[in-house]
Amino acid sequence: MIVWLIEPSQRRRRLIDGSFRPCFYVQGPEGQLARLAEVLPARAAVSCALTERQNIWDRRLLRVLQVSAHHPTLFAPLARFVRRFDSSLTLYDSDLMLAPMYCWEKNIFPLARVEIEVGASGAGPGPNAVRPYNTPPGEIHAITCCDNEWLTEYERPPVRTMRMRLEGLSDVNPKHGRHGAIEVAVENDWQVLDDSDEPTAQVFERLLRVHDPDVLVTEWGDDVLLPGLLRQAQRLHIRLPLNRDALPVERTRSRSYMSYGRILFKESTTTLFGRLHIDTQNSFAAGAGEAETRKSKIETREADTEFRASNFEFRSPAPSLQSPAPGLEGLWELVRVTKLPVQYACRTTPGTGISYMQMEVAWRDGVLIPAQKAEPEGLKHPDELLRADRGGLVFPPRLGFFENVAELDFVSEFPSIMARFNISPETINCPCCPQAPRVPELGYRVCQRHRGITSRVVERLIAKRRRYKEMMRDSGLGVRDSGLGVRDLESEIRNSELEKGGLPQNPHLSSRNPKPESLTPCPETQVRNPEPRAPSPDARIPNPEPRTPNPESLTPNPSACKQRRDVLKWLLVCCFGYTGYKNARFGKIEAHEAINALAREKLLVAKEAAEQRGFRVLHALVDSLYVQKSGAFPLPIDDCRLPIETIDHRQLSSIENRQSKIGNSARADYERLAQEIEQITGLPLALEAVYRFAVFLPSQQSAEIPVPNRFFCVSDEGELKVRGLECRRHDTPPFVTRMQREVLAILAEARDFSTYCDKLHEAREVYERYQERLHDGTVPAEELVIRKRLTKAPASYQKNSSTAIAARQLDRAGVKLRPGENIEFIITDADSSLIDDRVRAWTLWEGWRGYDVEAYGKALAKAFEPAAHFGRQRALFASPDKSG
Amino acid sequence: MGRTVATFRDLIEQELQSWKQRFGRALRQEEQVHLEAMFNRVRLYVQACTYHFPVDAMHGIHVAVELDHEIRLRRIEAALGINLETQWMDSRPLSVSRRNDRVADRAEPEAPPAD
Repeated sequence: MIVWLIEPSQRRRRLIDGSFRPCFYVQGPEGQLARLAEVLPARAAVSCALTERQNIWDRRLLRVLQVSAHHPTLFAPLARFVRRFDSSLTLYDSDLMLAPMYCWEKNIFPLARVEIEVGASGAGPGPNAVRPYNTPPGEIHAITCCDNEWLTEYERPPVRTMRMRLEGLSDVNPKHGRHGAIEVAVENDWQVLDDSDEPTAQVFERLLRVHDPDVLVTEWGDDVLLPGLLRQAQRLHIRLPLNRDALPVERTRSRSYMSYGRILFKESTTTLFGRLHIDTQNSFAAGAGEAETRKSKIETREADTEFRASNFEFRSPAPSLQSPAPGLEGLWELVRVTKLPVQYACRTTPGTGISYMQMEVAWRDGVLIPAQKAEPEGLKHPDELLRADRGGLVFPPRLGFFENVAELDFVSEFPSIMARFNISPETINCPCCPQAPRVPELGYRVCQRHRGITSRVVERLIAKRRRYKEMMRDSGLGVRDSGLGVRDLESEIRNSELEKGGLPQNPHLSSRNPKPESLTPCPETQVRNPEPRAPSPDARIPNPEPRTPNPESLTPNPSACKQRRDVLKWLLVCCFGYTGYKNARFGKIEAHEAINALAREKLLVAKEAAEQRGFRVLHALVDSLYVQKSGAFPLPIDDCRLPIETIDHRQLSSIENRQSKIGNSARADYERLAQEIEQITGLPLALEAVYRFAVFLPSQQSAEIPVPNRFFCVSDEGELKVRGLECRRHDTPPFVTRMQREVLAILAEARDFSTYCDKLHEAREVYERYQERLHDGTVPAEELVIRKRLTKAPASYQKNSSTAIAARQLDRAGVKLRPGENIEFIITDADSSLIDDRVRAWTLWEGWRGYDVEAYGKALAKAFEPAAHFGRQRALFASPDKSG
Repeated sequence: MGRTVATFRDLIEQELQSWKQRFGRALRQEEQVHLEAMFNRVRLYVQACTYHFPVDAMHGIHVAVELDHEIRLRRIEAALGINLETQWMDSRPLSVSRRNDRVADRAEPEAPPAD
């Protein structure tokens, strides 16, 4: 195993650990195992021994053959050989990645501070090391971790970073015809490399040699920049030292795949040895950036939740002294807790990370990790299936404009359920607890004797995430996601700091210490961890006391806290989702169903508690409740079924007078309600915010029908929360997004319905200004780019949708498009009889084509409609004649 | 969730399409709109249907529609300041509208003109 280290003297070292002997296990008839034990050592450098390991599902000890490869490169071929040797044999631990296994065995993790004993003898750096890393030779004799992955304040790796991108719109794939020179930056000093003086590859080679970066952060580096530079270097016979090892650069192929009914595309990857390459456009699976934020999508098993790769965003204006690589805080956090290699972690889903965390716990327990999932869904009666196969509860919102609304959120509800109720794939319907308490609605049993693997993993993640949340609150940074995009995190932080208000604090939250809880009260001592069966005699918990040179420099700034917290959030989300994922090794659909059943139960209990205490539930969304204190605003402009005309304008003025008095007491009431619900449900519940007003909008198809995710709210501090509006969508042109954000920002200054209607006039002026600019033709074309995902190959489109037309144009221009890729286009003349004139692919667009004023005007009007939907009825208040 | 078993939102849509096909076809155009609106309003109570999840979705849809009528009836009563319940408790027969008589006793329509 090759380990790259940065010494305190900043020298980079390449060392080899020859002691690592990864092993896997084979189960089968004793005779076959004995034969295998004879055959294998004769063919390769392996050790075989019969041993006992625990089966995860029934906890029985199985007699298995342990096969230890004397060299890591033998590990995969050996597993393949055993599979071919006898297909009836069952393999365990055989398809794990070697790097995490090494970390588990040595109790270290990527980017950890370690102490190493190096021997001068031994294999040395090997023939692949390149200068200057081939001297002095060294082999790791002992490696000791001086760090702990669960610390929230830790030293970030002192890496040298080089950034690289193409000129122009960063979201547009250069393969679609976007041209521009390469820009390279070291320490924020950008320089443009073009071929005018000397070839780009030659300049880049010199930069690499001079600066020798540890991390190469690129945009489109995986598929375009690095392969292109390598090709040019090859043509010019230049040796481009992308790797610090003298090995060829590793590349994988791109692919399209289906996930949850959607087709996704994964770019090819280019990974390096001895250096880290991070492509911000190819972070995690299925990149689909929002127009103004570079972010990627991940597939989570439940809703297609968005993961903002802005966690890895690398556009900070200046490097912080506290953090050598401020945009990579989320990634550092991810690799620390998951122990996945950095380049792999940033290109895979958080689900893989959480799986490896579970596998580590299983590995330390001496539990066999199946090579493939071997636990099919249990047989169910159709009635049972109907009962079980349900998700969280969603109450459609009451439509209208509501004042003084509180949002109560179960904090990390699903992970909390897993941790508190010991829900883990192997604890559901376990054979050891026939009399265990049952999950409501479903009747599944939950183990009372053993603590589940998943529960143990999530409780640590929840605790760490909570610590970051507390750190953010201490530093005065709001912890909510405004929903307005995160292009400028710094400005968000600045705003929050300016407001000084911070979030309402739940005094009970900070002192909370979640403990495992059974479904019915039972002594906690009944839930205990199984005796760990350490696979290696020296397996131990890493030293929790790291050497900290300067504690102040270790404290993450609020931006770093947010990035780390977001990464942990997505790990937790995926942890729940993976319990129901058919390919997850530790997946079991019954665990997934049990979590959902408990979540439904807790939400209903919370709703009942709120209603009993005189609160009105306006909206409930799986793990959050929007409630209004009855009497705070007795006649809300509520519900299309109660037309606004029915409200008397005289009543309204009296209501307005009473509001200020009520407002202060309302917050205290909401906090008390949150505490009471928390006590009843046993799950952490936070008063997320008290909103001055919340506007729940109807479906775009029918003004009568509410939809769960189309609303906006303004908190007491003036912070906006937006869901489901155009500015949240990926396919909205930046121009429209900007208009809607400006409009919402103006409306956010309103305090009640009356001032909202006044502000609406101001907002309408903004809207009209945008319309004027559109008609003037002064809008930059970049602002009008629409981004869509291809669902099929260009030739397969039957209808002439905008996406199909633009895709065909690119296809004709020689661009190879694959399903799942994003394309960008501009609407040039939506009603043209010539189909090809209706839209133009962005990279083929020329100024003379212009844009379709009417189509973009309609888009602006559509984006303004949510703001005006309830406000336009203000006229009815102003004139008693009309309301009468 | 939504893959193996359809969600109740999907079931409402499926039932609507199924009822529109034959039942809806035989309705007058102005009535067809109301059929769709009636099914759409079930979405207001979809969380209760999801939680109860009857084997036959139409059971849930029926209850939701009836509940919706009940709620709206009460609102109309409140808006008009009347209570129909107390009127029904009254032993006197409800007054019969003359308009009904007129409808019942109206003259036979004229035969459509021959083509």
